[in-house]
Amino acid sequence: MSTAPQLEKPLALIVEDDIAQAGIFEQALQMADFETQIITDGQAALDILQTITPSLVVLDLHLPNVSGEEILRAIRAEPRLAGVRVMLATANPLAAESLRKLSDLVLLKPISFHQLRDMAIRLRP
Amino acid sequence: MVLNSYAFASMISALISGGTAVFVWRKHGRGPAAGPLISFMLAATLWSFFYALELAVTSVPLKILFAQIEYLGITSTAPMAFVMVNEYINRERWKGARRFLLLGIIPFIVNVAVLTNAFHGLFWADIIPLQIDSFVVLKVKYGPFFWLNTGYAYLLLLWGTWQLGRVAAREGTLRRAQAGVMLAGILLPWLGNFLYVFGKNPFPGLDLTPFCFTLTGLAFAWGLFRLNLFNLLPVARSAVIENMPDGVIVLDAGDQVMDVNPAARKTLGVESTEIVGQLADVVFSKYFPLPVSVRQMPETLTEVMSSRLAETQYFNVLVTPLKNRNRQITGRIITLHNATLLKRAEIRLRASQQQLETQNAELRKFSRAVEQSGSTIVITDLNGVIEFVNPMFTQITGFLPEEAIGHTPAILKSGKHGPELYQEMWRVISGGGVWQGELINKKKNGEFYWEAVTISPVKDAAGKITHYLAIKDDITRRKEMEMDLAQARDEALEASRLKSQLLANVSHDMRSPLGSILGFTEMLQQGIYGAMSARQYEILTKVIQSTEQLLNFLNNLINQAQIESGKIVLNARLFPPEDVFDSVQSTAAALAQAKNLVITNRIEPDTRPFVYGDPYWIRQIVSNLISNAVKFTEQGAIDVYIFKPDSTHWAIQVKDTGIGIPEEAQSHVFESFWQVDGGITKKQSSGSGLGLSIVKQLVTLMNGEISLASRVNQGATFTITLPLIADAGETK
Repeated sequence: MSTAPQLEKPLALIVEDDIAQAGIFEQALQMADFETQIITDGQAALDILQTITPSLVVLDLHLPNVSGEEILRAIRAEPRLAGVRVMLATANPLAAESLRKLSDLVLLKPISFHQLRDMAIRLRP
Repeated sequence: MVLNSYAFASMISALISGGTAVFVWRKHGRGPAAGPLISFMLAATLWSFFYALELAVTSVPLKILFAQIEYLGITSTAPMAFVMVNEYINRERWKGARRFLLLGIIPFIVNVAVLTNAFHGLFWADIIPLQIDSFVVLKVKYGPFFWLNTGYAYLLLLWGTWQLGRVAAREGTLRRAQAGVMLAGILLPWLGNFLYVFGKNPFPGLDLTPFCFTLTGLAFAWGLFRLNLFNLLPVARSAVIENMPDGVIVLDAGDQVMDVNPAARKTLGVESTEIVGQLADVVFSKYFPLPVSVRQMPETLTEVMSSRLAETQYFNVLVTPLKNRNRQITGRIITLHNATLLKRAEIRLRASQQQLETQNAELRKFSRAVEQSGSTIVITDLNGVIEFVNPMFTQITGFLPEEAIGHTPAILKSGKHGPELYQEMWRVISGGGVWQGELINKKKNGEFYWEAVTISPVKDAAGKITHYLAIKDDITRRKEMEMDLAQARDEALEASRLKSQLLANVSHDMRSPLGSILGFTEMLQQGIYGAMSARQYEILTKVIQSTEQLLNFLNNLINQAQIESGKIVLNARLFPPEDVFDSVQSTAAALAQAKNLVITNRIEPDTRPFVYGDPYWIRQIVSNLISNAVKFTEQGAIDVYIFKPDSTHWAIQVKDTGIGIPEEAQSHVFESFWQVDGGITKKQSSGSGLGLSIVKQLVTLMNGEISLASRVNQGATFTITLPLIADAGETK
């Protein structure tokens, strides 16, 4: 369900292994006027971040192969990605808390559709 | 030689004297005064014998010769009598060889004078033979040496007579008889000699003196054997009685006091003149507490206590009747033996015996206590060698006393403790301390068992350690229970950990589908999947509400599990007060929105820029309070207000306009799974009953306080007060 990036809209990368959840995120972000791309694998997310520079990353912490925390650290360690906003989406409140400083926003699952949409609008460049 | 009657009588006298000498020598040769008596008798024999010869011969020179020999005896008799009297009255100073020689000086001079009379005539001035009937006697005129001898002899006899007279006058019956015999013996030759010398002789020309001396010897010999003349020496006896420490009182047949010795006088505290002649019972009633009258006193030792003296004294009193030959009582002797020292020693002995008995009883008690103790008791010497074990030791370890005594407690070593433990034990007890611990030991049969052990040093009066005492209790059962408990605890902890883990997993696995339910429902409402009828929209709102409730319940269940397992680690820090509202509104918002409730947030400016605490858990608290408020409020507003009640605290107040909480229920609302009872409440709310309990527990963890102000139907106000800075509890 990937869409080719269009330059006129900012790109939101959705890293979430739950397809249904990813779909909801996509819908909300699109309503917030983002281009969206869904990645369901941690390693794939790291790989794609080598080549693209999204405006926003909605990052699940519980991912196959590479954890969301590692991806977050990788983003924060990469100067090219310095401007990237990261929204953590997690079902583990304590883990979320520990990463609060590295992220721009922490959302506890289940995440309200409206909430995500409103937050995403705020994080638009 | 003519055997005339005079000579014959003299010879008989010589035989008697000689025989007596032999008799005394054979019967009494080593007795007192035997020497002087035998010598005396021999002297008399010599005298009589040669006097007989003198009388028998007719030749004048021969007569003179015999007379001269006679004088050896004549001059010896008086000194010998003198020595005998001295022996009798025990005049020590007249004994011994030197005194004897002194006595012999004059007799020696006289004898020399007798033998040399032919040259000087100083003994016999003139010797005239005198014809009497058929024989001749010598008629002499005496010279000065004769008078010397006579005077000397008279002097000695006079002195002896006087001494004996004194004894006879002073002493008792026996002594009087003895002294009488001696006096008679000594007076006889004196008489005879007197008659002869002064010519008052009924037998003209015959010297009666040797006959008299023979009679003297006989009298002495009779006294010796019949009256024990020299066996009881009156002065010695008197000295004994005078000096003896026991009081002696002599009574006559009429119980009158006849004599008191100094010890008795001292005991009675009297002078002899005061009591001599008085009745004994009168004397005793005044001075000494005899229990009964003298006559009633038994003839055995009677113990009498006298407190007349400064301190109480004890006497053994013995009343001995004196009896004559006819068994008639002629008097009594009372002896008072001061037995105070002995008695006191006896009292002391009895006291110490009593003390010993008390101590023994104590010892027996201790001994029985130790023997029957339910604890094992072991006593060792300083090297740890066992000196005593009680029966419990055998019962528990299986070692008999003889198998343990002489060994060290190492026979019980299980090998399950390192040497450090035993070193430490020794360090403590040898330093005078008490060691307590739990040891696993080994029985004789190899079985292991646990003991609670207390070892203490036993010190003597000087504080020096002499033994060690171990009191031990078998705690094997307790240990097993403890180990079971520890295992149970470990298992419970493990179970709790697994529960937490399970809850975490459940939480995670439930959140994802809940997210989908919530997301898709919202999208449906949004009209993304086509237009909604009002009815459909309403239904979807109920789906969202139910989802929110489920989510809330899930959160609280997990929080409660984390609190219970002690898993919550507070990560307190400074943070902006606005953060309290992050992600809070959204969850409660849907519910509030559905009820048309307004949630307002207010922050006092003086709480900016930072408050203090763990924002995650504070949000959890506020979320629960808002959920609670929404649940019980049907209309109106919910106000969340952050402010500073004082300089060191900040507070969050959640105020609603709901049904309120009855006063009687207010103290219970923070208990787990508790709900205000009543139909309306039940219908209106569907809480888990965990929310406020978790709030309370979290606030307590944060060293904060929660208070509640409410009235029925007038809303409720919860206020949480938290410290602004870390206090000691949290910095740990």
